[in-house]
Amino acid sequence: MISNLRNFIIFAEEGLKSLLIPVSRFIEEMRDLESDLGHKLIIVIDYTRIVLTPFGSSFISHAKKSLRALEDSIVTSNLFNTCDFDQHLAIGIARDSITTWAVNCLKNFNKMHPGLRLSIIADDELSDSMLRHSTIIFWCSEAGLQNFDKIWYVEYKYGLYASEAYVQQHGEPSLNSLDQHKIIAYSGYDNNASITNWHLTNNYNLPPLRASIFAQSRDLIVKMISEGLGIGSTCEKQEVYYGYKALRRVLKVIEGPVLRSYFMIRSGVNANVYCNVILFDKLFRGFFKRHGINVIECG
Amino acid sequence: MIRDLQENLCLVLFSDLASPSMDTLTVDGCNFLPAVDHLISHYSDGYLDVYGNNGDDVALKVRSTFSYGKHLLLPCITRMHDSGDLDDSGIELMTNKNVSKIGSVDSHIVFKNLMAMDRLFFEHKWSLQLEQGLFASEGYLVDTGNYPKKIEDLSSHSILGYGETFDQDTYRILNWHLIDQYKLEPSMLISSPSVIIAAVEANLGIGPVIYDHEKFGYDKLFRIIPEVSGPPVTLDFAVRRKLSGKLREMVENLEILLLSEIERMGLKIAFVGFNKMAGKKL
Repeated sequence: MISNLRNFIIFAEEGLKSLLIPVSRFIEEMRDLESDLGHKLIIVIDYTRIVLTPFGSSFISHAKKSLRALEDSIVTSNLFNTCDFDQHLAIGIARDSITTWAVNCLKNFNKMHPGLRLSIIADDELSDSMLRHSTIIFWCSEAGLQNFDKIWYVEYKYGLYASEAYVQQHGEPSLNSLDQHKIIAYSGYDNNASITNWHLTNNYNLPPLRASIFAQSRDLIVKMISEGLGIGSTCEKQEVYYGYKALRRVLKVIEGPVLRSYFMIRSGVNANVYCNVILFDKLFRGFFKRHGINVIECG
Repeated sequence: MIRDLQENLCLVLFSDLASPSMDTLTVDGCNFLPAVDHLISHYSDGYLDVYGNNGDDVALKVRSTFSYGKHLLLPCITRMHDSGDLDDSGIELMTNKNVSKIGSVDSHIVFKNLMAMDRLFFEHKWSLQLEQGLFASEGYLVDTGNYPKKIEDLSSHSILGYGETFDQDTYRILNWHLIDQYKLEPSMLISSPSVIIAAVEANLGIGPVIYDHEKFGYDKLFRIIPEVSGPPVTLDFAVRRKLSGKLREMVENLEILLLSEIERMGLKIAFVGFNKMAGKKL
């Protein structure tokens, strides 16, 4: 059913050439679907010319809704619940975090907890999937998330940074000379994009700046700064978070905003799930403690 | 979407609406194409203004995946910067995996698997194919003390899989080890390819990784059951069909650097219209 609906939508929106199956199989699938629906969806003129019937055209929006509902149920039932729920844990986290510091927290996790099945929902933005399926979310969200309780947070204090080599080559930047430097900025779309680009907002006692180098990942911004492409905004202890050589803070008098990443747990999880959540709580807290980063309790 | 557009314009843009492509574009469609291209460029450039560009600056926008953007394109961008090619222009490395329904039209270069929609606006120049196998870290193999020799042995191992896509193509390329003849049971599902390789490095299990991962800066990983292999990951290099002189020059510079970087890494590319294996034009 899912395949039939998916291929119907692909055909309706993009045409036969976008199908990943032979036309003969597509026609068979449509015949099955038509049989279920009791209406004709397509008219086959020949194998290169297939057109939608009026019913087929009107069915597109329904097909999309049905597909979404079916996919959601599969995610819930197959992917995430093939074992007992208390033996499964899904964590939602920024991709920049999990590919860098957080994955190291999980080292040997399987060895210590072989029965616990883990899903990592990593994205550049807070996605619907993350909100729907995660038991734990570690994310910068001051306003909080519906159905999640904030447990603790860490702070990221933003400033302007450059590489040592960059400063040696271009000199120590001053407020007067800053606009003559290459400025690196974030061009992702998440809810914290404007905070990450605080240095372009004409606030914080900075002159108006214009960025010319952009990346859609905070990890890539730090990498660009460390490669000497220019001056950019990142947080203190970026060497801990991203694993690159420590950058040089420039214009130390300028203090950027403070972002908070919250460790959040889905509200109302049962006791068994809560035991698994505590494992992660300890792993993450342990990581921050080892690197001298304060973990601040909520409420 | 196209049907609505045709109705609004009172034009027939494609001779076969069921198969909209360059091949089925009508004369009216051909005449309308530059206007679409212009509209999309204008629209997509808008956000640069938000971040401080005044609109007169030239900024080359390059779309890729996170891993290949970081490990292949960024070194080339750094070299462009060091040689002064970016002195009076900007660049954006677009690695966000959530691409809009209209494809990659907000970029000038695409270096990833081309979407069907991208082929309307981009000229596909060449491709890089990277073979995949199953890999594990040394730490994982030492910890488990059990080096799998045949596919059945994998049932007692932690298998990593890609856990969030219903795009058939992507699913089959990334989860080849969970379907068809192998049908392995994943113990950890991860929703990003770049996180899968990070998880393999971190001793979390056995997962699908490209053979040449070390050339991209990842740790040395060990191939598990060499006869098990997956479909290649394809990175297509494609350039927007209509570009201004300055952007065209930047694109050409970046392409030269990228080809040189790929050659230095010992990877082979296939030019469009050439047989990769035979090295001959088809």
